Amino acid sequence: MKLPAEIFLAFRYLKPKRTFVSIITLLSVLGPTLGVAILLIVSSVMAGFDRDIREGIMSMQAHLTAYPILSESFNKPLEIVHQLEKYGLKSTPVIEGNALIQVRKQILPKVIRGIIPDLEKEVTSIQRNYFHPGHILKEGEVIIGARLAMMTGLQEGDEFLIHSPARLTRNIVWKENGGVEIKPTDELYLPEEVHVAGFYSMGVADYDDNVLIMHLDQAAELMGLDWGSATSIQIAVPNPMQMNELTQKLKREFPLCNFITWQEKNKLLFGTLQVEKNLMTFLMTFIVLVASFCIATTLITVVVQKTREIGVLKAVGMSGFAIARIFLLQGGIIGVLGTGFGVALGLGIMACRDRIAQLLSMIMGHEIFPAELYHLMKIPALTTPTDLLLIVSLSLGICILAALVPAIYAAALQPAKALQEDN
Amino acid sequence: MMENQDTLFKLVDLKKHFRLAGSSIQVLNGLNFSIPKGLWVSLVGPSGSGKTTLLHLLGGLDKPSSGRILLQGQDLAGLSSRRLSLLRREKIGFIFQSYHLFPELTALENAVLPALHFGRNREAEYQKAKELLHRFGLADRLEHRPRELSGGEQQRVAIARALINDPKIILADEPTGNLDATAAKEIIRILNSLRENQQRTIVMVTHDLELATQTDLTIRLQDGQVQVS
Repeated sequence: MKLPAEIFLAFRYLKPKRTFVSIITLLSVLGPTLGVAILLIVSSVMAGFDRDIREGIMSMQAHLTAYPILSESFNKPLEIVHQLEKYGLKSTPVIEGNALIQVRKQILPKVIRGIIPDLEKEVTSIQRNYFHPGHILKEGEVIIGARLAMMTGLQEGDEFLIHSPARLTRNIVWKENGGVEIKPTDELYLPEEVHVAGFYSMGVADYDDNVLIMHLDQAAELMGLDWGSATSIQIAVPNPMQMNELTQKLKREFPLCNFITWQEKNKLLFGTLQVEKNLMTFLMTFIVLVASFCIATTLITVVVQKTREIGVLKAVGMSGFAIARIFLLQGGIIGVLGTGFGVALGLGIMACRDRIAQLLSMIMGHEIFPAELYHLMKIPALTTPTDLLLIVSLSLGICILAALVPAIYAAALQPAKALQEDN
Repeated sequence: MMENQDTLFKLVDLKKHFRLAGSSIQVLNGLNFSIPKGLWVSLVGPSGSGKTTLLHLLGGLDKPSSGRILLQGQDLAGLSSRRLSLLRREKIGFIFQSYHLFPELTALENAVLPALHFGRNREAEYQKAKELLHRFGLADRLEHRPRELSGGEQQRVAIARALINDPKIILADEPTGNLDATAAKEIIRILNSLRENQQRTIVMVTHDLELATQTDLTIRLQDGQVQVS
């Protein structure tokens, strides 16, 4: 209780004359509380989104992909795989292409991906996301994404058809004058009949909707390629964040290959993410600014209300600095309380974010976080200590800054004038 | 009025004017006089004659437009605002007509407020404030807020506040102006006791000419000029 006058008064000014907590104090604490909570939620979701997207991408894509330069496929991809092994790099041949799948009468465009399961598990985590991890892919078997299964109603063991473009276009000949001719054929076109051997779930809607996984040889057949060939080679590197040097070296060693990193492959997505993040930060700054106006307004009101008291304080020998300290301290107290409550509120909302999203979806009558738009299955969240520290210090800093104007004004009041103020 | 080591304030051609709505109002027009140490001085004069302004100037709450105020030889105009605060804290106690107590604080807290600095033994200051309030008959009023006190009681708290740092100068702006006759009498008795016992100088603005006759020295302000009697 025996505090120096400025600390003593800072606390007293936060309390009103009659009720326990002043409405003005409450409102001014609410400003930074909401600001900090929203900032925390947005930055956590953005960071979580970024992390989950990256993880999802990395689980399906290798860090580095080699494409053939001269032809559309590698004839002997395993030779390159062996050569890469000498550099200590794990790799696997892959065939990727587009196809139409037919489930009963429904026809859907999808991506097929042929893999060699034994090699693939060294490079991507596709197999870890199988529902039957030990399963060996045989001819006629396809693993589909969990979302595709839900949409089409396909279950394990169900059969469906794959129409491959290679087969569909086999009988078409482009003439030299630009015309098209259909080869007379006695062969009958038949789609490939396959059945569902299992499901996978990467947590990335793009993949879980679109990609069918099958054995490399099956894919070769569908794409009309020779057995043992591949459209690309997927390579895992030890440090995916720093692979420029390695990529340059591989480009020199394998002149017939074009190497593309995972960042390059997803440039558009990461670019979009970055733009979203920048935009959010920009908008969030205004929220914090508005919160700081809250505090500035409160303190200016207090200073104006207390003008005569400030005059008395000066008359009894309190220095301008000490008077400024009263209001800075008040801003500080509001800042600490607001930031503290804001952090608690933000973390609380993050903890039950999925339930809140469900509730909002119910109230608004449509899904507010559709997986198709956001790529991910649930609301991501990642609160890093750095982000938390940044938000807390930003909020406290702005609160103190907001208090600075009224504090300086109070310190600079002419005592004789202040004493004659009518209030 | 002699000028020797007993001179507390010396005013040299002191002028003060205010700017109001573009025009300049001359309030003090070249005052030259001295206030000796240890006296009870009353400042009288009609409304608007600049009594309060002069009191504020003596206390360093305002700066003169021209001229000088010397406090024991030291020019107040030459002091930084920090030095002025220090001077007010250590040497000057203010008493106001409408008490100017802090409504959020109790009587005790109001009285002790000027002594609550960093580096002070605040426990001891609280004790001292209690003793002062006891002396002024407010022993059972320590925890009361100003609105729970009568005018006379509030003014006695204000006097305790003015005395907490044991200043040698008391500047009082119509201390009895808002009080009834009985309460005013009590305040005058207290002020008188402060002077006699402790060799303090009291400068008091008043409208009450009868009260002025009880003081050692009366300074009459009129039209920005001074008559001493």
